[in-house]
Amino acid sequence: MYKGISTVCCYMSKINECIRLVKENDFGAIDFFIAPPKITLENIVEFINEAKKAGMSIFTLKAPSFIENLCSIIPQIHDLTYHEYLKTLMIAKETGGKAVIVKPGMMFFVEKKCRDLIQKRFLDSLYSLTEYAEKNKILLLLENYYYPYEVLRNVRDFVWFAETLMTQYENIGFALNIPHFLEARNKITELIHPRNRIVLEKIKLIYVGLRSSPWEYSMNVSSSSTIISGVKEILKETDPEFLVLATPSEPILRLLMDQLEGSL
Amino acid sequence: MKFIYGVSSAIAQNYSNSALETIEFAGKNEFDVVELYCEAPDLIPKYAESEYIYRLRNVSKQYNLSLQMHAPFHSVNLASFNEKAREVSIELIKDTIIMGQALEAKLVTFHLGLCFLPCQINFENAIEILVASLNELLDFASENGIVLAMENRGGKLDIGKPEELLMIYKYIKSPHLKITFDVVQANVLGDPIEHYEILKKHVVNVHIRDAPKGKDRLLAVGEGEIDFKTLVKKFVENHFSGPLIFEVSTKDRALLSRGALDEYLAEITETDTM
Repeated sequence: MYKGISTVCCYMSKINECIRLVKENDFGAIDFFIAPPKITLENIVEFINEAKKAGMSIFTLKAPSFIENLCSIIPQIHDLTYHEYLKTLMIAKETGGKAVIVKPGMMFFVEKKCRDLIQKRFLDSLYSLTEYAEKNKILLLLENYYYPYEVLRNVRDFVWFAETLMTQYENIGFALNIPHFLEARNKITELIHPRNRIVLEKIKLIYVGLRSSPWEYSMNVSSSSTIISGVKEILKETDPEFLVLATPSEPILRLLMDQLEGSL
Repeated sequence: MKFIYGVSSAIAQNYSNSALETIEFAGKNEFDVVELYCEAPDLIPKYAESEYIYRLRNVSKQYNLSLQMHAPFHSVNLASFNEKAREVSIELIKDTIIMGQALEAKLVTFHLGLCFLPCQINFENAIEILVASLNELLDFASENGIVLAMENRGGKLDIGKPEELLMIYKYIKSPHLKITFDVVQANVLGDPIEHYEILKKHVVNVHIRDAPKGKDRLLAVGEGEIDFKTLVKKFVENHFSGPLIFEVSTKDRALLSRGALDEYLAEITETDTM
């Protein structure tokens, strides 16, 4: 398992700082979060090259994931999302990225009312991205989010993806975001129950940060102990390829490192 | 004084025909306005069929109904640091304006966007981006004779809190930029009466529904905890007669809400004339 740090930790400083942190702390991987204005689909290759120059050759790419929605009823939003995800996969192919992490989608009121139409387009797009990932031996990882309208939020959502899309491909799996998982009021004990073995086997990356989300600036420091104990529980049951620390705050990053020490 | 009442097409049961279904309902029940919710499959800007648009315009005319638009808003972010996402957001609102013009609508309600991590860290830059997007949209709206009404919002990530809306007016002086006041979004954040008082100078359109305190629901007036009697009083004092658009979960709730507001209005105007 590679331990990594997300570039979100340097959102307020420079990306080089993140590369320095990874090296200094003896981590093996870096997770580039493509979140403009800092890192964009246009400039990310420069940062990847800098990381490679510094001896960091193992990296993953988290695709843009704020407004992105493969389930959107609005074709313009769906297409924007699809092209951003495809472009991220293409960059991974070009630069040797090991995995691309995407937010699968959100179903709001209208999408739920038009479920058949939406689900077909959503699955067509996801299959197409998966085919590309499979052909190029890149892991395509679906990340869970915590808002009520997310399509990957609860344990039963994980099971649904694992039993459908994921049975046919080797290179598709989950990026389990533990703060999101707990924020959505899921229980780790449910996830690691033997009946959900199919899900555990597909967890290829774990994000560790604070609730409510590593991708927001609100930081619930008191949540760190439950997050860390959750990580430890999961690592007893499965062996993901990556464990990535993700927080926009360097002091919090150090706190998480300290708390994880000894258990990895 | 008489209120101008309307219904949102979000009220429709059949979303593949939401606009026509709502226009028929509104016409038969003597509403004055229909606000077309442009995220239903029949009304997606640029994708709605021109024959359908033509039919909507004709049927609304038969009932003497005015039409106004609500632009798509999920994933729309005019303050986005992602240039492509911002461009798509602007295009969606411009396409709504174009469709509105074909329907002889004069008002387009829209949401400003969302404040994710990049915006939370660089808020001033996000506002600069937002203002640039708004200026582009306002030029387009004024060329097409449309008023743009930004909606107040109460969600954690939403841009559109009352102080943010007022801040926009410091940067933009345009007669084409107004506010749609959403009573329940104000309720999510605090007291809708206070929020209306803060924003009333700019309000040209109101979304009406009820909810328990602090919550967002699609209930009829009287089913929740919002003090509509005081709100109606404030509308009267401000000489604001509408449109008041019912954004509720069912058609029955729209009818109930209209009845309730009419009762409050009668009580208030009777008291005033006594």
